[in-house]
Amino acid sequence: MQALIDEFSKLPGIGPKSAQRISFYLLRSEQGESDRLAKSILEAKRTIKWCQRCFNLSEEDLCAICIDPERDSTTICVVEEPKDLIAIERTREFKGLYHVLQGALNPIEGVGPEQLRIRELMARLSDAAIDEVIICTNPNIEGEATSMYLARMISPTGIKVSRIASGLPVGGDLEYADELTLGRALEGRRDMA
Amino acid sequence: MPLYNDQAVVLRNWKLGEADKIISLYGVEHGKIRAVAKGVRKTKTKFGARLEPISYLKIQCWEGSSELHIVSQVESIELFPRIKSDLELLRKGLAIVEVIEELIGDSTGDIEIFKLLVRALDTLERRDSPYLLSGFLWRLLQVEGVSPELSCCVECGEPEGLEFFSNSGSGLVCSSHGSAKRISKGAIEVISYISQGEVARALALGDSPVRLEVEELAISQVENLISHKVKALHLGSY
Repeated sequence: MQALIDEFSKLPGIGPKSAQRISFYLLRSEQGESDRLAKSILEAKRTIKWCQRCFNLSEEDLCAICIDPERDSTTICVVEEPKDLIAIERTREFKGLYHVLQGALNPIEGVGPEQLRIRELMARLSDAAIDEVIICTNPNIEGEATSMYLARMISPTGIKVSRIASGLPVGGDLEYADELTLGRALEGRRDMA
Repeated sequence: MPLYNDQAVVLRNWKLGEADKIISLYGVEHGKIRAVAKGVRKTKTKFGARLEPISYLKIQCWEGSSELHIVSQVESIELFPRIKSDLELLRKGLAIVEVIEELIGDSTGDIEIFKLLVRALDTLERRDSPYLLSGFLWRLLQVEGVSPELSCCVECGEPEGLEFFSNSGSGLVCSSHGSAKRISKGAIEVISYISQGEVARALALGDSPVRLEVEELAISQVENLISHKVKALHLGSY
């Protein structure tokens, strides 16, 4: 029992109390439920790997987006994590390809370009006909530093580099917006004529 | 759980759970503060971008039973947008807040340190100077009571022939004890007037090999005290 609790407490966001609660739940549940959970974990570990081109999660060497002939192969959207890719896919606004960096520059935590998939991105840009790279890293200090670093690396290649806009969340109140976000929203305003 | 107000600069933050962050701040009255900002990673957070590092704020916090306080309200005084949109300025800005985070102990606020921190970030935002980082570091060392000995050899007290700088001794050494790093007369002069509080005089100087010397010595002095590298300085230098 303690071994099971210890394993669950290693998971992100799971403390010892939650680990204990999950362990007791599984012990009380039907055999089939815990079998399905164990099988899903093993199956996912066995079949899911990194896409060799974009470093998204994939069951094959190349992910479903990379092999889709309908996608615009001249535009690459750069994100930090696969979950960011999923968020952008949910918008149904972007039809190009992706590149997952698997993190953001964070010198304090020891994350430099060599820990990210930047070298692979630069190789993609030199091999394929790419017109634009859209940098969609998080709008925090690490994400901004990563975007500025990437822009500096990509600009000499002549490929257009753009940054996802920062602004106000739809449904939010203007008065609660901080000055930095509001300033960027004004800066990135669009023509309505 | 008492509620308190303070003015503070955000030094660093760490992700906590699904949508929260632990924020490290330096407050004018409370010194180093560690507080949880709930929901700050959600797009509709009331805190917005205010709790990112290098932000000067008015804060209201709940003093919890643990060492971690809880951020209740935040109002920005200066968010330093120019620093955050230039990789070189960001490198210096992050180095400044990292040194405060690492060097200053958990005590009550020190108005001198707070003023120095805000003034350094403000200068970086408005007009960067080649001597900004070294000026900040040498002045901080002086405020912390570890200013270098520049009038005589730290080994023998000899006032002549001071051509080397000893990190471990935190001061100049004469040529007979000179196994340390060689230092130019120009660098001694600049460090001397920064340590006497004349930072503005250094900030007016242009870039030169002396600037690099003064900065490298300041960084190695700080790294000697915190026992590790100032990591933010690696940003953008890859």
